[in-house]
Order: sequence, then structure tokens, then C-alpha cells
Amino acid sequence: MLLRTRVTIIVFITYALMIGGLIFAGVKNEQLADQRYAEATLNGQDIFWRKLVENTLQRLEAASTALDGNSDIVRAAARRDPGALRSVVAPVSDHLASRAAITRVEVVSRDAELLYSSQGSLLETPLIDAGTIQRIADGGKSRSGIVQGGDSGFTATVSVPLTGPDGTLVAVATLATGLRPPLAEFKSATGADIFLVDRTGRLELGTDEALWAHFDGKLSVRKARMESWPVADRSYAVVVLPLRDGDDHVIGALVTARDFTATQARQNLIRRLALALVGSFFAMVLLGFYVYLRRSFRPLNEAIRVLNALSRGDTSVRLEVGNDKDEIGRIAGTVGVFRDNAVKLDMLEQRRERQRRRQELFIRLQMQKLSEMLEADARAAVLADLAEIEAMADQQGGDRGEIEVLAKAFQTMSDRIREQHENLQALIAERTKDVEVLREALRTRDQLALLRQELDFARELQLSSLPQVFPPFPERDEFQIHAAMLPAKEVGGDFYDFFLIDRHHLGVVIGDASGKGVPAAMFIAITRSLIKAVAPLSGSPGQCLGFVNTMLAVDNPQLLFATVFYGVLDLRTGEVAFCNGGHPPPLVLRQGGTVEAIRDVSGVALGVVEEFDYENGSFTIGVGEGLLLYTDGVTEATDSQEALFEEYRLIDLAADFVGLAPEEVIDRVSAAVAEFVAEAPQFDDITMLALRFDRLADGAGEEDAPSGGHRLSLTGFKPTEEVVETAPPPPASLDVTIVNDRDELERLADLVNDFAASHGLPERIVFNLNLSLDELITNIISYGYGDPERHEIQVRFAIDDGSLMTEIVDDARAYDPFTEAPEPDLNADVLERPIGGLGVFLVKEFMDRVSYSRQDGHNVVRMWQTIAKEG
Amino acid sequence: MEILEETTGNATILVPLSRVDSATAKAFEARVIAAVGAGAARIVIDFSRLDYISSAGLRVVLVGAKMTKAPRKFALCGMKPQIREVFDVSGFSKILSIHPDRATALA
Repeated sequence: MLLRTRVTIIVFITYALMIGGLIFAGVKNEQLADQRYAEATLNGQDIFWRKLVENTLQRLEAASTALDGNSDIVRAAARRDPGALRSVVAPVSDHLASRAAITRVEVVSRDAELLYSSQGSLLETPLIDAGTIQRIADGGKSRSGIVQGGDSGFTATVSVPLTGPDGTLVAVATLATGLRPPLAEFKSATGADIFLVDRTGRLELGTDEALWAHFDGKLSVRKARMESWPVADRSYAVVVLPLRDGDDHVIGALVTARDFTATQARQNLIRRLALALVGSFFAMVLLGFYVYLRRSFRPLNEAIRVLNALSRGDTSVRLEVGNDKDEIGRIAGTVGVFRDNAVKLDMLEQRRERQRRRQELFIRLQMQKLSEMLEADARAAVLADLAEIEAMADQQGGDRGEIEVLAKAFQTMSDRIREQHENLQALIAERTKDVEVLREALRTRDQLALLRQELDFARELQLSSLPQVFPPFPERDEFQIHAAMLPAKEVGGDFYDFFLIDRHHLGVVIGDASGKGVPAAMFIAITRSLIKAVAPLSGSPGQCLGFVNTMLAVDNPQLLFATVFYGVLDLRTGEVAFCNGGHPPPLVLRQGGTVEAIRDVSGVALGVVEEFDYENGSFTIGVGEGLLLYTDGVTEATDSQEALFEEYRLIDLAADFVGLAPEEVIDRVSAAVAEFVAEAPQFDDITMLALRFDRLADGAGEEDAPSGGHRLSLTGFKPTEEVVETAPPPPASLDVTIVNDRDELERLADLVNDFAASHGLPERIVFNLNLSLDELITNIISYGYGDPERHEIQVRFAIDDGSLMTEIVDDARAYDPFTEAPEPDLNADVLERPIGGLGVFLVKEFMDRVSYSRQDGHNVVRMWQTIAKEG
Repeated sequence: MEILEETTGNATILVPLSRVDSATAKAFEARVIAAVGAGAARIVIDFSRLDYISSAGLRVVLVGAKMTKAPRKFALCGMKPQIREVFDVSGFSKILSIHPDRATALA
């Protein structure tokens, strides 16, 4: 609902209420006035009616004197003689009837017996009853009033007592007259029709019988009131006045009906006129107000229209503001400003829209470019997306823009790019793995090359340890010697050697070390060197190999071993002393083509068991005979059927070789083996050493040089006290070896004391030294060994440049007493001081300098004391 | 090793001879513990005839000193200079009652 309609309605309701109130007040006022008018009318009519009745009664009372003052009548009444009475009263009665319009005269006795009636019959009911008579008798006065008596209707009556001379009531005389005269008088005085009705509302007497017919039976007589009564086309003001008798009983009513039609018509006219005036004024005010509001609201409507247009996005509307003095005007003004702003905003938005379109185009182009970087599939997909976007953009007409769609496409593209990126990464990872594999392969190749280099080195080592120059001893013509090694693919462990031990002794060695490769090569190099070194010092081949064996076996973590044949040919006699450590038997090529295999075995291969006693064997070869040493590479050469060459083949073959040059022998064996093996691969080195004894050396019968000079002492490998004893130290030093037993300490102390005495060491030095030795060695013995075995401790004393150095070497577990021993707390109370840990402290205090080192699995403790000469 | 034992009044006097080292310390310890355990009011070790003592010997002396609860007394006397030095160096001189001779030790 529009505001102005609402305002109008509110004003309308307000006015309506106000006018309604006024009308209500007026009506109420009029009612009150009517009431007052009715009361006044009632009062007036009442008074007037009473007056009329009173006048009538006064007339009756005046007439009554004619009766009560007549002693004849009293007497007649006292006699109760109706005849007499009639005669007395009738004239009076007639007179009164004619003069004073008395309509009826009655005389009633004291006991209410009708004595006379002007009507004639004494049988009729008297006008007054016994009660009235009694009241008259009691009061002694006359009574007057209107009485409805019998069938005579309403009459005005006066009853006077007839008293005898003695003052007693003898009878009551009643005079009555009709009410028509007063009624007529009333009508003529007021102009209103008047009616007397009885208690039941039936008309008794009236001035206009026809008019009464309208009211008959419709009026209540009980209550005095005034009401208007329409009768036909006229209006009557009807007034009802109840009539009461002397005892105040309602006996009927006086009804007046006055025609007030004219008055009412006037009144109605005035009322209608007033209503019409008020109504038209009201309508005019409303209309004016409405028009005014409409005019006032016009700028507001205008503003609303503009706002509506603006809200639809239509900025073409214009707003004319005529008046900006009031609020609505101001609103309109503001809307105008708002519209201007909206127009500006619209323009701005359009500009932005254009800009955004340009940007979108740009993004699209960039995405196209970017998609070119993708793989063919992904590119096609992205281009399809873009085409779709363009289509959508055209479809939408730029309403919402492409940003949303672009974002989606971007998402798609970024997904694809990520996917491609992940693929690439996976590819890279794969390639990286490939590269890793390649690198690994390269490393392996490098390692292989290194290994090959190592193998080459090993082979070189092996070959270099073999004499290669033939003939090796060109100046010697007693024998010819030749050797050859046909190495297998892998570096094997074969070796040979020959050397002149002295002028008359030729040593020949052939061996085969277990294992292959560098370790074997190293092992044979060591073995060969040891044999060559030890040979001149040994008394026999067995002694030599025994020594070499121990050397090899003692420190042989890889458990390598070597079979070795070592023979020493005495060139003067042809006797060969030999020792065979597990090697295949050598062949002696005898004159006449016999081949003798020397099968004596002296012991196990070298390096297996230490301290093995190798036996010596011997045989003799004659002049022109030969010796063939070989390794199992020959006899175990394998052909393609995996058959071995075997010794018997070699022996058969060798039977033909007697007298041949050693080189020839070797070549032929090699050829035979090669023929046997044919295409089969060579698994092991094939090594041979051949010797032909051509003549006995000069000087046969010479004694050997005393072997003692060459005899090797083996004691160095196992140090014993014997060494100390057999190699006494220089005087300025002392070496003592003790075992891990506390009782040894006293012996040591004695030795120290002797040493000190012989070198004049001061007592204090000796005491301190003894104490230090005691402490340290006690510690070693008590805590150093994890086993109950016997151990040795070397103690060495040396005096040098005014300083005594004492060295203790033990093989106990590594322990540096000077750093690892706990420091004693020297300041603790006697009761709290822990027992022990003091010894090392005392040593440090007493010695000028101490040192500790760990060497070759031994603890080496050294202590120095400056020797101040005594005195 | 040989250890002499004398009793004077309420004091037990131990006189170790020659050397107390790790080999002989055990015997010395047994004697000292026995002497302290016997309950004399005063234990005196007379070092005047001892030539050598090692830390094992010091340990025995310490055991004796610890065993002797107040008001009983544990005293040492008659140390040769080298022996005294051992006690000095080890700090034992500070915690033990050491007297120049037996008379002062018994006083």
C-alpha cells in the first residue's frame, strides 16, 4: 500500500472517529433534552390534570354540603328508611344533578348498605366499599378522589359522613360526577387528545376514539412516560400518566397523544442538513489532503522510478528535481547523485569488461603457446579445451566472462603439465638408474682393468722371480740346465730356481704354490727368496726346507702352501741330496733309456705345519745322465675328453730323451703335452726344469767347507733366556727376562741391586727404581693377563749420559698405567681413603719421566731417572 | 717375611723386617689385622728395621688405620728416609700418625 494511501486512510479514520464522537455526543444530548422535556411534559400534564380533577372534586364537596347539613337526611339515614330517605334526598339530588352536574348521589349506611341511589335501584353496588366507610368513620372527614366504580367507569367522587346529633356516624353520602368535562377541558387547553384507560389498558373515556384504536392494547399504564408513536404518516407524542385512587392504587391511566409531526419533520430536516454538511466537508478535506500528498510525493515517486531503473541497470533515466527544500526533495536530489554515480560505475564496469576480455584473450593465447610445449596428446586435449572455452565465451556473450571456464581449463592444463612433468621425472629417474647401472658397469670395468693390471703384475712378479737367462752359468761346463714355464691363463703358483751354493754344489728348486693370482705369486716369491737365502746357510736340503716351512707357516693367515722339491747336486760326485715337500717325483734319465722316478717323500708341503722335520734323501746321477723336474701342470694336463696326460706318458716320453740337451728335452715334452691337450684349455702352469750332467767337477774328494760357518741358527725365531745368556749386554746395560710370578720380583730386585752396585748408583735411585718396578710389574702380573699361562716380561736397564732408562716389555693386554690408572685422592681422610691405586702414582712421583707405547702386541713402558752421583 | 711383635703396657708394637712388597704384603696384612683385632688400645708399627715398602705395604697400613677406631690409636714410627718419602709422596703422612721414634709413638 502506498504511503500516501496509508496516510490518507489514517487521516480518514481520525476524522471519522472525531465526527462519530461528535454525533454520539449530540445524540446523547438530544436524548437528555428529550428526557427532560418528557419529564416536564409529564409533570405539567400531571399538575394540569390534578388541577382539573381537584376543581371537579371541589365542586363536588361544595355540593356535598347540601347533604351533610340536612338533618332530615341524617334522620332518615339514622332510621335507615330508604323511602324516607329518598324523599328527602331525591330533591336535593335532582337539584344537584341539574346545577352542579352531579351524576350520581348515594347514601350508604354505616354497615355499607345502600340506602339511597340516584340511579334508583338499591341493589346496585355502592360507589364506596366498607373499608372506605370505616376509614371515613375513623377519620371523621370526607374523602374525595377518582374512583372506578362498578360499571360506571371512572368517576370523581366525594364521600361525606352523615353524623347524628350525638356525633356518631350514621351514614356516608357519596356524590359522583363523570370525568368527561375535565377531559374536554384538558383537550381544549393543551390541544392534545386525551384518553382514560383502565388498569388493563382498555379505553374508558377519550377525546378521539379513532386515534385510540392505534394504541389500544399496546400501551402499558403502569409507568408514567412519554414516547413518540408513529401513527400512519404522522407522529404522536404519547404521554402516559398512571391514575391512582385515594389509597394510591393504580386504577388506570391518563394517556395524552399530541400530534408533533410538523416539529419532527423540521427536526429531521435540520439533522439531515447537518449530516450532509459535515459529510461533504469531510470528503473535501480528505480529497484535498490526498491531492496534496500526491503532489508532495511526486518527486519521491520520481526518485523511486529512477532507482528502479538503476537497479535494472538502466542508466538512461533522468531525474528532474524541482524542489529540494523538503525531505523528499532532498531524497530525490540524493538519488540524482546516486544515478550519476551509477552512470559512472557503469562506464567503469564497461571499461573493465573490455579490459578483462583483452586479458582473457591474452591468457588464451598464452595457454595455446604453453600447450605447444606439451606432448602431442596433451596438446590436442588442451587445444580442445580452449576451443570449448571460446565457444562457451561466445555463447555467454560475455555475460559472466570466461574466467571461470578459463580457470577450469587452466586446471586441466596444469594437471596435464604436472602429469607430463611426473612422466618426465619418472623418465629421468629411470635414465638416472640406467646411468647408475652404466656407471656401475664402468666401475666394474675399471675394477676389472685394475684386477687385470694386478694380474699382469702378479704374472710379472711370478716370471721375474724365475731365472730367464740361459745358459745361466756359461762358465760351467759340468752341466747344462734349462727351465721353462708355460703359464696358464690365470696366474699360477709354479716356480723354479737354480743356484750355485758354492763352487761344487748346484741347488735346483721346483715348486707349486696353492692358489692362484697375486697371493700365490707373492707366496712363491717369498718361498723362492727364502729358499735361496737360507740354502747357503743350511746343512741339508731338509734343514733348509724345514726352516723355510716354519717361516711360512708361522704367519700364514691365508693358509697358502707350496709343494717344493729342492735338490743339491754335488758336482764332484753326481750325488744329489734332496728334500721333497709333497712335490711330484722328479725323473732321472738314466743311460740306456731307463727313467727313474724318485718317489721318496720327505714331508708335507711347505707352510702347512710349523716345526716340521723334513727328511733328506739322496740319489746319484752319472755323467751323461739327466734330471727332469716338473710340476703337476705337466702330468695333469687335460685333453678335450678330460683325460689326463699322466706320469706314465711322461716317463715313456722321457725314455727317448737321454743325452738330449735340457732345452731339447723341455721342448719335446712341451710339444707332446701340447699335442695331447690339443684344443683343450690349459688350466695350470706347465713348468719343467731339466739338467744334464756332463762331467764331474774338478776337485773331487775335497772336503766340504766346514758347515758350521754356514750353519743357520734357528734360535732367533723363539726367543729364550738362552739368548740373554748367550748374548750378554754391554756393561752399561742389563737385560732381564722374568716370568709372571711375584716371586720373580725379589730376584729382579737382587739383579737391580747388583747392577746398581756395579755402576755406583745412589741408594735412593735404587730404592725408587725397585719400588717402581715392583708396582708396575705387580700390576702386570695381577691384572694384565687374561689367562693362567706362563708369560715373560723383559726388563732392560741402560745407563746413558747420566740417566738411567728402565724399559719393561710385556705381552699383557694393552694398558697404559700412566693414563689409565685412577688418580688417588691424597687429601681424603684416613677413614675415607680407598685402598689401592697408589702404586702408579708413586712411580710417577719417583721417576723423572715416564712413557708408554704399544708395539707389536706388547706394552712398552720406559722410565728415566737422572743419576746424581752420591756425595 | 719376618715380623716381630712386642707388647708394652696397653700397646702392641709390630716390627716388620726387610721388605714389604706385593709378595710379602699379604703376610704383613694378616699380622696387622690380627694385632688390631686383639684389642690393644694402641697399635704401633715400628719401621726402623724395614728397608723397603711398596704401595701394597701402604695399603696394609691404611687397612690397619681404618680398622682402629677411636679412642684407640694407630701410630707409625722409626721410618728410614726412603720409606718416609714414600709416605710423604703418597700423602699418607698427612693422615697417619707418624712419629720419629718408638718413645714418642707410645707417649
